[in-house]
Amino acid sequence: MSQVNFGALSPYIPQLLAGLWLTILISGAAVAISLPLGLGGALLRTSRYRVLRTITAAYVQVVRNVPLVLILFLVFFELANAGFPLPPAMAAVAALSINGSAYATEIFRGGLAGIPPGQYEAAYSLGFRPVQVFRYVVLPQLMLISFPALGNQVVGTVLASSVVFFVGVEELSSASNQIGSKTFRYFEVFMIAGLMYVIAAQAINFTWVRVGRRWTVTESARKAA
Amino acid sequence: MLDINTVLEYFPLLLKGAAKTIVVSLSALVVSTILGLVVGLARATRLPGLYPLTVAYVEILRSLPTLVLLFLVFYAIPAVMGFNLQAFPAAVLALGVSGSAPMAEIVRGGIEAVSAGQWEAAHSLGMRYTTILRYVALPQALRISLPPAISLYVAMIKDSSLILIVGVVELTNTGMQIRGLSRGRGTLLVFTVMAAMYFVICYTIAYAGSRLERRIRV
Amino acid sequence: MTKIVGDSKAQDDADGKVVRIIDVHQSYGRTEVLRGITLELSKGEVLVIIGPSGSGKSTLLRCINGLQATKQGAIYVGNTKVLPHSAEVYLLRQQVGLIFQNFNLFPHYTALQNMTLAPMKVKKMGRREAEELCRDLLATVGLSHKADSLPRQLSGGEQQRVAIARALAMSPKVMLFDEPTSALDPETVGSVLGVMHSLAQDGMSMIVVTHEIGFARDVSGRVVFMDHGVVVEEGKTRAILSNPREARTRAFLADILAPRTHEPEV
Repeated sequence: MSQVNFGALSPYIPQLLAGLWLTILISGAAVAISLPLGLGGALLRTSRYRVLRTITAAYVQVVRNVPLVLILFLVFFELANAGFPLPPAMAAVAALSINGSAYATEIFRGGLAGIPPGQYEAAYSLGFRPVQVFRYVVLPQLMLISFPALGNQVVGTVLASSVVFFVGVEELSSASNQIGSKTFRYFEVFMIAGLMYVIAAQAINFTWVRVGRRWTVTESARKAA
Repeated sequence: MLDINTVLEYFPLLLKGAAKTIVVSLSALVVSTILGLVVGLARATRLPGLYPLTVAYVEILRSLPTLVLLFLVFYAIPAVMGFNLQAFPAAVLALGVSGSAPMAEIVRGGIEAVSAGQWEAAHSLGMRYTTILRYVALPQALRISLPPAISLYVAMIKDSSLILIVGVVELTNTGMQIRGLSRGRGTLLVFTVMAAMYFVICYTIAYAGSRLERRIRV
Repeated sequence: MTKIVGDSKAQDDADGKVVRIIDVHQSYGRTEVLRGITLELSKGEVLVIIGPSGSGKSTLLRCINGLQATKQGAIYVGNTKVLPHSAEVYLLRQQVGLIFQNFNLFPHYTALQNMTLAPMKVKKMGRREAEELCRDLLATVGLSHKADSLPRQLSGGEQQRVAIARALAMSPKVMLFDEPTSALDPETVGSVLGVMHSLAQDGMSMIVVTHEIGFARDVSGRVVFMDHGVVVEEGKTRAILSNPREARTRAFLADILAPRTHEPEV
């Protein structure tokens, strides 16, 4: 084959960027859905009722031990077979959300365990009702504790979104493959796509850490005497 | 849709696919463990000259989707090195390298988790760096690293579902083939059986891991 | 301080008894932790409970504000029966303050915010009114200058004083203290005991579980010795401390008062 030539790809950059944009949209939607679901899942997982605990635990176990691709196929192909065809992008978001919510459940569950029982005792002793305890005492601490792990989850979702290539969503990996088949410059195009992923992942990580740092600093914004 | 005949008809094929998945995954596990140990050790001990390389290695690989890495291995090797890699080695290489980056971080985390007090005590006894590493730090580090490593192994088994990119006929690929062959009949059950197979494989690893954890607990 | 104690609404407490504990039993699993406790606290009285760890003292305090249920027996705060899983218990808790061994301040709020949160959200007080009340309270415990500090920026003694002020912000009828100084460095114990001393002198009804015998001598009228879930001995402070009747009490006091290095309970 001819030598490595990146220049031949310049007309295709817009298509790649469009793919990147779709990647971000899909990932963003999936994250927006999986985080609240994960929070709910964590609460179910620590519920008083054993039935709820077991069902949620089973859900998490199943999703964690089954490949994302398979979940994607089940959502996309089998729903279509059953008469509810979903557009590929929606199936993608659904599968990513199912996957992400299981991991988010585990993250929040760990965070909840990190809140000392004394916090609950003190809050109840002051006369707070359960909803208030959750809103003013538990939730803020939970978010602070879980923040770093959530960042990894977001990055993970962006990387995992590449899998939706298999159902024909034209995100970054799919676009790269298409360009590759047109130009036979597979190596070059995937190098560029790879670079885009790396930059995206690093950017998300960097911003997340920065935001996290500023957030914990503003908690102690006013100086002590 | 819940046609059990399709499952029964193609069950042997599914088993073959599952076997392939296990073989590829195990090989990739070995590759990533060895690579991860090397890179992780290099990073934790801050070997001069190597340290920045290891940081770059880990950061870049952890920011790449496994799918893209598979594509790269598949297309880069012939383009850059001039020869074609067979499907199986390509898959093992890509999966192994992909998993080596998180493994390196796990190894590094384990080593750094060994408390400073251990080092101080060992130094005070007159032990040298490499001796301490070998007899004091690493044994403890490996114990600490076991749970996250098992987690990583499970993730890698799941990632093996992607290697159809490089042409390996493993479990997921088989499922897609069956779908084509049966023209969409009974595929729900087929996919469910596939999911169950993955579940069994992954859960076995996780279970073995926790048994191992209990045995080596200090 | 007088302002706070005077605020406890003059609800007609049965015979002026602020807390009545009647034959209370409680178990953790198969271990019986409280085996028939009967005690009373009068208005303005300071009751000190002493005893070895595991004697059920902490559990008893938590039963009084409904954090813990009781297997048998009844507890009354004023005229209200303590019903742990009811809707009324939330109202009752506004009348009872509980101070913990490890402070339990909310780490994500400043000292002032820790104090104003409950008055604002539970009693629906306005922000300005709540802040004014709490700043006054902070002043009385000597920590005005730390109003905007986070708990992690405060010493143990300061945290505990904020915790006391936080509980006082709800204008409770009775204050319960669960080994308030056991987790403190010896130097800071005095500052907290000082606050508790003032509180007592201003007429607050208090039940204090502690090892600080000196505090009991200075402030308390009655002492109760608990062991293995029962009240072994009870009586006037001076009498119990100098001349206990029961052998178990004698042994315990000898242990505590023997000269040895103070080791805070972990």
